[in-house]
Amino acid sequence: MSDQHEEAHFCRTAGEKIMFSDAIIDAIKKVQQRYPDQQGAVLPALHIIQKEYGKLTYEAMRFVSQQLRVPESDVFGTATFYSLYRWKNPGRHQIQICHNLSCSLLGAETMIKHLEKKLGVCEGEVTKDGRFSFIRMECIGRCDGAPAMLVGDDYHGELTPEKIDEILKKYE
Amino acid sequence: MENTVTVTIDGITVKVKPTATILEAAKAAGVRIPVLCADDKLHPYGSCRICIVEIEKSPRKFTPSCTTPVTDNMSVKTMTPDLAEARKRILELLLNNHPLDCPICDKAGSCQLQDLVHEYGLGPSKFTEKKRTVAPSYHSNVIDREVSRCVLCGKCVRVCREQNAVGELAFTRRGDKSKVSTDFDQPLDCEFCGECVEICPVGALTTKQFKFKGRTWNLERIQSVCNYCGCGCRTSFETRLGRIVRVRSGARNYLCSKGRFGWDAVHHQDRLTTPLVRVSGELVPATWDEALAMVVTNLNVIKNKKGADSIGGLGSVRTTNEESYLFQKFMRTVVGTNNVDLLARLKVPKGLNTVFFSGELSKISDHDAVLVLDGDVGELNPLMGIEIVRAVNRNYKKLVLVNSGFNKFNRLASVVLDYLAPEAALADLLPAMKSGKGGDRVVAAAAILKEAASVAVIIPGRTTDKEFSQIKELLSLLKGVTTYPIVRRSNLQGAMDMGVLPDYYPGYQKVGSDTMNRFAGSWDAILPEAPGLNALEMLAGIKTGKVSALYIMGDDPAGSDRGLKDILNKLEFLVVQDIFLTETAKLADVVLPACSWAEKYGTVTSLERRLQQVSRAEEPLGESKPDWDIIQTLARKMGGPMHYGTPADILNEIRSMVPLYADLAMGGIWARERSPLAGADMDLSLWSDTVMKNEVITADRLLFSSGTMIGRSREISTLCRTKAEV
Amino acid sequence: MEKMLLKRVDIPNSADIDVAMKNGAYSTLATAFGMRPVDVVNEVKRANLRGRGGAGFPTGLKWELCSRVPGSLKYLLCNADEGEPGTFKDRFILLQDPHLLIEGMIISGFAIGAERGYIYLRYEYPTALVVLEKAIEQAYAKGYLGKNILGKGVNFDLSVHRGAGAYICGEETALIESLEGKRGQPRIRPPFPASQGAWRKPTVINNVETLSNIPYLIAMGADAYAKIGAETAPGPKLYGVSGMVNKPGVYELPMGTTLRDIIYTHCGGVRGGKKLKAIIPGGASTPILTEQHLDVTMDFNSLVAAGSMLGSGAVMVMDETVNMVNVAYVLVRFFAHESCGKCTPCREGTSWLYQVYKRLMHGEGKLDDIDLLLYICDTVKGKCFCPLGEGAIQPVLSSIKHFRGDYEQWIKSGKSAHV
Ligand SMILES: Cc1cc2nc3c(=O)[nH]c(=O)nc-3n(C[C@H](O)[C@H](O)[C@H](O)COP(=O)(O)O)c2cc1C
Ligand code: SF4
Ligand code: FES
Repeated sequence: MSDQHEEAHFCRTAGEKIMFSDAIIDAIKKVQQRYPDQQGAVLPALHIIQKEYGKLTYEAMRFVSQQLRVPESDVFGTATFYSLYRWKNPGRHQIQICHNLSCSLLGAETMIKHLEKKLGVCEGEVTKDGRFSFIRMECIGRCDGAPAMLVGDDYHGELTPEKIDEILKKYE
Repeated sequence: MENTVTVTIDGITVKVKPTATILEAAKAAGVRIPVLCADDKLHPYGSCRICIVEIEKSPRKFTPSCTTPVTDNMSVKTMTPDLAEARKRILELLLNNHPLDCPICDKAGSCQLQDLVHEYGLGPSKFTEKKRTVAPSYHSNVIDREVSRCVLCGKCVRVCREQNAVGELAFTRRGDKSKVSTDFDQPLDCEFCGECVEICPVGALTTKQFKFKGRTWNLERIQSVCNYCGCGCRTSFETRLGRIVRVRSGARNYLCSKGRFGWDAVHHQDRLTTPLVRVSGELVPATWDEALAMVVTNLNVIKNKKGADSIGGLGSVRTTNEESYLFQKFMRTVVGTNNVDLLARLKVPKGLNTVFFSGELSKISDHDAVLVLDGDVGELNPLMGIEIVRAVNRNYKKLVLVNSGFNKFNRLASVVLDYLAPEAALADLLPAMKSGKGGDRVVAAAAILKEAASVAVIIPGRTTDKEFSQIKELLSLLKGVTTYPIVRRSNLQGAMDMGVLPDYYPGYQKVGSDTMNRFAGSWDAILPEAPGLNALEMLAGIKTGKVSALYIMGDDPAGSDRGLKDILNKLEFLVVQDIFLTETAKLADVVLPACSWAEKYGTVTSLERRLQQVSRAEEPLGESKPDWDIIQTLARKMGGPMHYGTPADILNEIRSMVPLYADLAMGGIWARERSPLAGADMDLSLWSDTVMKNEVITADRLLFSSGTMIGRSREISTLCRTKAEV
Repeated sequence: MEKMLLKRVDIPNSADIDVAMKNGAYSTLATAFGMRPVDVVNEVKRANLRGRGGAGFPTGLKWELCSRVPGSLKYLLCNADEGEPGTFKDRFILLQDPHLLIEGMIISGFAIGAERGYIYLRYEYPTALVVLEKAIEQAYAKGYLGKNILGKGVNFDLSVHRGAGAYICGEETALIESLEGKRGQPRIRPPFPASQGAWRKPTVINNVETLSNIPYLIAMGADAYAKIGAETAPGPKLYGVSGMVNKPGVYELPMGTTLRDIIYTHCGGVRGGKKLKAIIPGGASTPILTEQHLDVTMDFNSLVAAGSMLGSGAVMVMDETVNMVNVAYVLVRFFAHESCGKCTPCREGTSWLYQVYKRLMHGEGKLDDIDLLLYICDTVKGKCFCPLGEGAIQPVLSSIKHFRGDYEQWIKSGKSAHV
């Protein structure tokens, strides 16, 4: 099961230095204007950083805390509450495959096994070439196309092992 | 009278406010409902679900009492077989992942979980899975967190936010992985008030200080008062076999780091245990008789040679009222000089006791708005800080903050006036108050202040003359003002009330012929007529040779300002009475060992002007004696008639001499209207550009620094990172 | 029934404002602004529109509570978190007809006196994020959003707030917390959001589908609207059908269509001609029904009478090959993952249930475990802070109630499923 809440995930990412560009600072300043107080921008600010760097680190959270003047522990607590902030770098293409009921009824587990075999990695890991990583998801709202997955932001449904093979070819 | 609703709890009918919760109504009815996550200090939260009750005719079987408001004619049952079973089940859930390490848990005996499980007679659980593993403990200075014991009631998280606005603790992660963490699970780095430890219902938060020091049921509790700042918090000394092992908050129900952890200074190795006298340049132990004889001889010699006014006395802001009273009486009646003062007057807010009197701290949050003129208030008077936070977080009042830096109050403030000094802020704010014109911020601030029907104004502990007059002008533009001057030193108010001042007798009765005759009559002594030298004049007098001897009780000028060492060295004779061998004591000819505030009785007066009782928790260390006893022994040896059996005898004399204290009950506040200084446009503070300018701060944060005492607290010193000269 | 909510969905490029406008988008604004706000509220009340997010709370009543609170700073939040497993109906509107939602929000904001709106969009809809932001930009460009809309002095600002993966943020008070940049844990009620919601200001939260009903409701008038579908809850309803049916998808049907109609008439029956075994009528937290319930009409009241709930109208169909222990396992795993962790029964109860199911699935179950599951459900029942915990035990209780045989057989078989 997708477990982004593992202790280890948080503890190991410390120490990596990321410089936050002016573009990011501007984007955060811009999104801040949508909210009546600074804290409102915590989620969007984290999204902005995750989009740029693929994951969140201590530095990222500390940076958001300083930008928005929200206590660090609050940013940390908020970020870790949500399951889709990432603490490890995903592959170039992150596969998010649903394992909730509708998909599971139509073979999600088989698809997941196939992915594991095909990519040679377990859930949450990145392939050696850095191309793919995959995580299990709760319902992604594509039950009508079950079993379904997202590759990056693209949706693919009615999966079969063969179809998965075809889809993966499209992603470098 | 506000309208009320009628509620029946277990057959007992009570009338309560319509906004009351069922839990509050039950309290009013005298019915106990078990709780874990609810606390009077905090907003309702409703997470533990232990407090469920049954409401008659409700569609829901169970209703949480801590979060549900009452309705008229509601009828509630707090204990039915179903409820007992339901609570048992919730307890079972809480125990499923609890380590059950009660034998080594400091909380055992006062653990709410333990008590509830016992009360509900929970048997073995049906839970056979593996217990959840959470990192068992996180260590930090002073406080340890044993996370595996946590029941996730969130009280620590909430107290840290709602009451203290620090926000060091937070819930992190989600679901059954939820846990209470700091930022990124690092060691705590906060104010270390320890309120989280105090509020934790289980043993998840413990203090290092108390670890394995005693079982809670073996402790004796002695009510006393904290000695670290002017707030004068009630504390409870907890002792085991006659030694203090822990300090907890008393009546007012909160404490800061110094109050909770700083008491260990009284066990410090530097404590003086015998009198010391200087023999061929060295301080060597002596008997009380030898030491006192040396004091008597030297003071008499100097008095005879140069006159009584060549002797000065510097009193203390740490000693009790009785001791301060005796000290000035000794100087005036036995030595025969009005040269008696407090060097701490350098830290007295301008206008204290004349223009500004402090209101009750607990009433800060009743005001519509709070104006803070010194952003450091939370570090200087932590309790005042908490009350400001409560005003905003609990009572939703507005805060206008003048602060050049950024601290926790910035997050709470409706408007922050970011100026380098109050003077500049006020220079803009005053016109905005009058004309409504100015920058956005000052206009917004002015609007809030003008709209408020009542304003609590936090007055800086030190102001320039200009600021002083600006503040006075501002106050005249506000409605319903209560002032709260920042007073750092613990019994400064009391010491001044007791007349440790060169120009006032006790109770601010001006030194002059009228009052002199009255005091002379009661004290049965001949009194000097002219006002004495103030503290700065005494120091200056040493240089000119005007002052040849000093008697310093409970102060350490040389420790606070290294520059004063040379001056004090010029004295012919120096007596220091203290609990430590301070920098000043090291220069003395005679050192008299006093006992600490934990070892004596007496009273102190807080910045609220509240009279409070200090009580003895431990026997005096070694041969040390209470200051009052030392003074009266010395007085008798010098021919002064002082015969007091206990501090209470002294207090009786104070009551008869000082109208302010005449009928002041213990715990009561003396009325400003009765002060002879009220409304007077004068100043009890001293101002010097040189003395104490380079004060030695023993910590990198004001909060952890309060000189002689705190510098010797092992616990607090772990919180200080540097020793800086500021 | 003629399509309303999905009218524009099949038109190519209908997310583009020009296409949408050619097909009627924003045409109701003038009508609405011609009314007094209180009349708009009354119209919605009279139409008896009930919320489509799950709880079925009367929308007009919610609006009235909020509009009556004095003060000008109010918020309108659109709940586009669509997290209930099996639910995907809102996605159709978000992706294909965002202007319907925006128009609905402008009118709703006008009615309750809110000048600021947010669409709380789940993280899992990255495409919808792009579509919505574009649509909002276009609406601003055309003057439908911003200051003085249609020159009528109505102001409304709108932006998207993206979630980050938490089902509980669909719960309205948790949604508010999340919007404020905090952990998505539900708040105490009272105060209800209508009086103190986002940033302690009066706030209305409505589901995407609910808000999308508004332009049509106002355009056709309450009387005509109330004639559609079930009397107790009129209007069109989007049913999202998934699982083992021939034609899964979203169907716009009158409220109160029977399950049989939905599954057999519209969705082409069960896949491969297999026998129907179980139906979840309204998303993961609604109790499982069986083929005996096929003639129940899909509306709030009838489903409650049948022992389940309409929820989000997400129908999940299972055929005879399905092992109900596995179904319950998947759903319990979901709830254990999504419990916010605030209250004891839900946090500890769902986690315990999950552990027992894991054991069952690994072939390490005992027959006693069935009673243990019921014991845990009873421990959780009626004590949770918010409805999530209560929902979490529904799949367990209903699957044991209707399919105890599945459990016994599975446990006795000692088989292990690799999950
Ligand atoms: C755990 C939980 C999850 C919910 N998730 C959603 C959701 O994803 N989308 C939604 O519209 N409503 C959801 N709801 C219902 C909302 O709380 C709320 O009732 C709804 O948004 C109100 O809008 P409506 O009156 O238009 O239905 C959820 C409720 C709960 C208790
Ligand atoms: S029932 Fe309790 S733990 Fe579960 S989601 Fe609601 S508040 Fe959170
Ligand atoms: S169950 Fe997989 S998308 Fe909904």
